[in-house]
Amino acid sequence: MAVEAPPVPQASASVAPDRRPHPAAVPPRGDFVAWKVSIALLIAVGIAATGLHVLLRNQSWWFVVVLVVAVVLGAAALTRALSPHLLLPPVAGAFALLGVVTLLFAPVPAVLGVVPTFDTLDAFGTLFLEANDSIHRQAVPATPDQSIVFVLCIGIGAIALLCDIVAIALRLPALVGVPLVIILAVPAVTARNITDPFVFALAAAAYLFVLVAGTPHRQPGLAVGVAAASIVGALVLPLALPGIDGTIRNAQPGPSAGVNPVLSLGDDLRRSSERNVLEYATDSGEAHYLRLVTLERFTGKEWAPTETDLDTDNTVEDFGPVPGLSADVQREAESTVVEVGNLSSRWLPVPYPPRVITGLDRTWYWEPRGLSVESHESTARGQSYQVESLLIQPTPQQLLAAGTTVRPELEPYLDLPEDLPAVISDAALGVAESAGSNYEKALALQEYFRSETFRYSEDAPVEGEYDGTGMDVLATFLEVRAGYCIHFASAMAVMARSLDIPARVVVGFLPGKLSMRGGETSFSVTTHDLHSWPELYFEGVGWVQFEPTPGRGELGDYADVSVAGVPEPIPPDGSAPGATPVPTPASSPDGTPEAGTDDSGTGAPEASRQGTPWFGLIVIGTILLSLIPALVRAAQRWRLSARLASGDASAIDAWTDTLRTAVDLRLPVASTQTPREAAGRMGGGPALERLLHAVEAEGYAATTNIDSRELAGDLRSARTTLAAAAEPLTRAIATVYPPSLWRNIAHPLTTAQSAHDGASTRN
Amino acid sequence: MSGIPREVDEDLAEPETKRTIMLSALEFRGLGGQIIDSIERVIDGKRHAVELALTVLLAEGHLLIEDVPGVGKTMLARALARSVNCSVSRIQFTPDLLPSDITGVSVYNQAVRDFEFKPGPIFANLVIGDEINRASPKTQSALLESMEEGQVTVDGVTYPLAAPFAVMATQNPVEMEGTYPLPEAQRDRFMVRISMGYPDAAAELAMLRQRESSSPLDRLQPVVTTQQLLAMIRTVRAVFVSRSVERYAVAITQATRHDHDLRLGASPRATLQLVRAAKARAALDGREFVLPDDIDALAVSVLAHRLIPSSRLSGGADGVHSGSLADVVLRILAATPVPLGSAGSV
Repeated sequence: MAVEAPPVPQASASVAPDRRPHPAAVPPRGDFVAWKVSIALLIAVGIAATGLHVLLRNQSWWFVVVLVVAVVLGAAALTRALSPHLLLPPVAGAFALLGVVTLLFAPVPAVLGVVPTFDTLDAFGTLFLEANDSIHRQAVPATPDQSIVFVLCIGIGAIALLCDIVAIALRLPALVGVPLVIILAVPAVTARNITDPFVFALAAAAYLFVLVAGTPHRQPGLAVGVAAASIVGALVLPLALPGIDGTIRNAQPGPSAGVNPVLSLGDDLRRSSERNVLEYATDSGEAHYLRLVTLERFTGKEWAPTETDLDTDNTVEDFGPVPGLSADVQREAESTVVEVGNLSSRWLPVPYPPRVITGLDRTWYWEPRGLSVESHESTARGQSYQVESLLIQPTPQQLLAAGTTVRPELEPYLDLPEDLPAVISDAALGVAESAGSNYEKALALQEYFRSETFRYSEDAPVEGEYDGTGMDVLATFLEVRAGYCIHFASAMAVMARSLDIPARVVVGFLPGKLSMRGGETSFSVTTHDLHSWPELYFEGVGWVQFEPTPGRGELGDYADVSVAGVPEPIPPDGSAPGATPVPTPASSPDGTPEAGTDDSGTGAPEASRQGTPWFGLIVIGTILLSLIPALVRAAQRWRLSARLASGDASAIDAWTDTLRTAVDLRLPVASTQTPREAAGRMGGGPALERLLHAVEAEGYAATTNIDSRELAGDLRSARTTLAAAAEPLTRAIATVYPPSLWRNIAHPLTTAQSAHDGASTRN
Repeated sequence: MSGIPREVDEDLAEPETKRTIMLSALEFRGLGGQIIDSIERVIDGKRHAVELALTVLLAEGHLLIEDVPGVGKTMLARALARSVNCSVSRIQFTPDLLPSDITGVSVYNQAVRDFEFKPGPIFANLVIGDEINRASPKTQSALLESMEEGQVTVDGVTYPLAAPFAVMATQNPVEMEGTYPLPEAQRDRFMVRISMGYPDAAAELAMLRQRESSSPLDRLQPVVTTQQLLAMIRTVRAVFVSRSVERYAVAITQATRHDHDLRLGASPRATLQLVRAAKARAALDGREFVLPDDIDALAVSVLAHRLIPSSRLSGGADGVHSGSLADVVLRILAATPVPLGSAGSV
């Protein structure tokens, strides 16, 4: 066994017992250079923070965070250089964190810009609330607005402070891995992209650097081993767990902004029972669908909005032209006053097509394709505004006149995956093959879905991932013929595309219920009115809304086959290819209002149930990983007790374990001490005396009559005595994080050669 | 120069080599305690030096007491000698002392018409060599040879020395005037060098009271017989030394040979004497086996006077920096891992 030559100043002299400093009582010195560890921590935390880049859009936040971390660690290091007190540096670091965050984010109400006042704390509270909102409403990658950077600075600054305490004050640098893994795990928990492996490797390297800088003259092997195991564990655990697929992840609750914001929005609304979302009143007294966002891209797995940066010229004071609307189409001006209640959405509910919106708080922008209104700074919550919009009233003739013309710039709205299941396009052909114009085809599709063969059901009897809008889900939906609004909307849009009709899916609210308030007519929209529907494009008219979901919403005149002039669609061919008979006749084709609670149809409750244990498993896994040292130590003891009881273990084994306990409790024992000296350092006691007597007889006498079986009790009571004499914090660390796993204290069976090596090492 | 003690003849005529009596650990400790108590009646507050002196006697080594005049060096040696009922001779070393003044001379006896050996003061159980560094090197080496050999050869005839035989030499620090410092080869013959040091105020005050009337040395009575002393020595020889402890001792002396602060490390004889002294200490402690603690406790006393500091430590001077050499030994002890293994294991 290689014997490490301990440094002279730290080693204990047998006849000069006061030479070895008690590690917990004396400030770091000698080979443990605190400022080197501080620098290593700055690098490690900085690199770990880089891992968040997958979540955020603009990377300038990183410099702010690193500045804060540098200030915190620097303040602690400076205090450490000036004062030998153990507690002062972390306190200084905490004050530095508070000061720098105040200076950066709320300097105005603070004294001299850095000393926080009560107003500053209020400002912090507001920032926290805004960050919460912002995180909820933004998709990944999110724009790091001020509130998000604030939370990042506070969180990562606090983690840096924790690292400083753990690595320098407590001298347990290996534990730094836990806070680092917390930072690294954030992307893995919240986004579909697992942490950037490159960043992970860099962070692991930085962590090893911390270990090397922070563990002089200890046995780094085991430390590095446990650290590597923790890192690998943290990396592999999320992969090994179910639900890594984005579909479920998107529907997971919590502050995650899924890739598809619509689904997380629906999830937001679904979490509570029915409650009012908004109230609106119109000049005409008519109710309208209110649109939130347009889903234009069909990837095959889901419908998703086109993520593009907002054009800051597109302010809500002046909307652009309504896409595709020609002057021939009859229209009326409409004015709608909307008061939004508790709706955490970055899209504003507005009737289509809006022309001017006034009264909004913060800046909102429109996007030109779907005229949906979006903000990166605010949410719809609490907004009160007036929308000037148009009521478009196309005639069936105009729609018929559109024929089958599709202009080239609309071809993106015909995009379908190559591997679209044939059952979908076959069904579309079967329904609308005989129809002439796109309009007739659209009506045929709508009536196909609204016919009695389809059933509205929120708990459609399908397995697995029936929550999404992907084409596999749609194929299943067409077979089962039961589903929610999102299935109807996306199925109709996909089938329309397969028939060369430009189509997209819209998420928004049903018109809601009429309510009289103060003698004025208004409409009340609740969480149960969340809805989705398809929009199809007709040349000369533009985007026209359809309603394929049975029993939901209302049809425009142009889409209602019972209205005179609207062409009667060809009755759907019940034997459409791939369409199987309905499993159970739809006795109640339209879902009752109660049953329609979750008509946004992502089925997220199930996803939540799957997502929560996934998150829980991460937490449990991390806890288990951090418990490994304690478990290893407990196993060592348990095994030794068993061996002592069976007579397999000697007094030397018992003594070695007692020394380990002493190391755990940070008592100054070392392999260069004789057992008697070590016992003196440990403080004595009758049980320890008996153990000492036994180990001296076992180790140095010619014969011994010690029965090691009698030592088990002494071992236990010696351990109890030692633990009782220790500080509570030391005792807790000894239990959870026994340093004896890291420090080599075993009495080596040295040879003269190794002692010689030890001597030469010092030369 | 003192005359030949009366007891010498009796002791020489009655060799104890046939006896194989062994003492139990308890008996041994009891006797050792009595000797120490007896000496402490004369030497106040120097228990460590007293124990070391007894340890050396029991380990069949020789003792070098180094200190300034008047701190009780000779008193210690004499008190020890008196307490164990041994023959004692005392040699005052002076620059004109001749080797034959120590070993004895052959003189022509007119009556028997032959040369007759007149034994010198070396023929005693305990030989006190006062101020050994005042004699010329030639005389010093005559003493030291007999210390090592255990016998004296005069005019071609070899005379065995008494058993037990121990030399307790005192010397003044080399800085004092008119001294010949012992060469390192001769310092190596001494098992232990101790330094008495000044007594503390209380001890000095007590000493004043005691010496008012008469010398306390006169009141000392032997507490063990020569036979008992020989049995103690035999018991010490039988003390068990485990392989671990042997390895520990070797590791320490090896380390002195590679230390950058030392020009000359400890000799293999030093290792041998370290272990022997440790055996005596273990026996005095009532143990039948040696602990690493015994080695630790004796290492400075056994090793320090054999080491020669490097120029780095001593600044080039050839003086004995006992303080700094002791520090070097302590540093080596602090850096040497203590082996722990079952007695039989290698």
